Amino acid sequence: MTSAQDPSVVLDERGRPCPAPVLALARWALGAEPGSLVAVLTDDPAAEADIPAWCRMRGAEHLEARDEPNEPGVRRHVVRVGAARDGASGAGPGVPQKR
Amino acid sequence: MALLQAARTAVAEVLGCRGDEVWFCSSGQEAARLATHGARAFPASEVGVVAGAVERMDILDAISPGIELPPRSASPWIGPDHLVLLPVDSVGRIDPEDLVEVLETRPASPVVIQQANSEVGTIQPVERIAAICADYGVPWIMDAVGPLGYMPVAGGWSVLIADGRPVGAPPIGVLAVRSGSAWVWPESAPTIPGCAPGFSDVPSAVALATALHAHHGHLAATEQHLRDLSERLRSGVVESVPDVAVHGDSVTRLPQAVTFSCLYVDAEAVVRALDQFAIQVGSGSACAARSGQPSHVLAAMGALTHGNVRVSLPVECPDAWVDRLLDVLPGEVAALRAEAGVQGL
Repeated sequence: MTSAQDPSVVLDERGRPCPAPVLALARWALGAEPGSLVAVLTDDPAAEADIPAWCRMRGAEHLEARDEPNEPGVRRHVVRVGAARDGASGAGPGVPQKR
Repeated sequence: MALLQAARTAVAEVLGCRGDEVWFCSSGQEAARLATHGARAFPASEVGVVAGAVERMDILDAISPGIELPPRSASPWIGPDHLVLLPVDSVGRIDPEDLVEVLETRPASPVVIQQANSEVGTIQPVERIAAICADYGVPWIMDAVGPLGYMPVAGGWSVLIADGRPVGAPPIGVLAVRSGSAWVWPESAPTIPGCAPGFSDVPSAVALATALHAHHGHLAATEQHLRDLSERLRSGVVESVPDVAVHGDSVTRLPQAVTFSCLYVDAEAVVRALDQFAIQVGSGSACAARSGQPSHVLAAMGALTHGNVRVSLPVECPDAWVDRLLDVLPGEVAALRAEAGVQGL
């Protein structure tokens, strides 16, 4: 298993409940260069499922999720954002359909 | 008592078993407890239990009290109390080959897999599960809460769990155990035929049997009506709400369950907004749950959990209810997203 580079950008979403962590990730991704790395620190239980789900919906890569050392209940997710959105997304059950 | 025995017979007809195999108990939770503990108590059984990751929490909790479920995994997960969880795919379905893989190493383990998932509706591969359990000679404990009253209950199970809530009956539990199953009463034996130990509410048992029998009489029509309605709801949501994920298998599913998640929307806010239009819905999102945890079913599927709206259409759902929801939902979601400033995200 390879470990992801440590991103220089860290979004600290500790203490913020869903959907705040995903929103913060999405806002950051909007202005980011394709291929950029970002880490999200969160204690939101929904983020465990939602950050990977957002990555799938927005063509980003969920590289890693691990416990943050010395911070019980806090997880660090590392994401690599994808190319700019062009409005086309894969169709299929459970996958959002964009207009 | 004749009424009680008639109630057993009526329920047995719906479940596809014999009257003397049907037992009433105090609640669905108690039925789950008796089912799982009884299988474990059978002398030749493995101490372990194999269950699907998307079983109802009542059932997982009966097997392993206070269980903390792991993050989504592609392989079987070995948890406390000798519970092995089978993973599910993105629509919430278990892979029968995973069941075989686990039983190869734990051949006498009772198996706990639902006929269908009540949240997302996905029907499990019941024929394969029945065949595999028969091959290994292990009891299949099947949760029938999802299909009961809405579609035919599957066959091939050894032990069945149900309760009265889906058919508007008293919320007492039903436990059915086919004779010859690797199952025993986990504590004391019953003293009244048809009543689990500690249960004596015969009027509720009769009420449940009556309601089930009535529903069974027009099951095919109910199923068709709700399938059409839920199909209209599923496709309507996809067509009218951007960035929405409708969960579960779109075809092989329960007729009444529809659940979808709206990206970037706070679930509590959308549930409240719909409530203002007298549209009551549930939610599987963390913020809407007393526990603060998102639906373990959605999490196990890798599905988006925030902004989740959960609908379970009642047996006699008027078409107008779905029309109203489809009318109101897009505007409310758009308003919430505008408020949160998510354009372009």
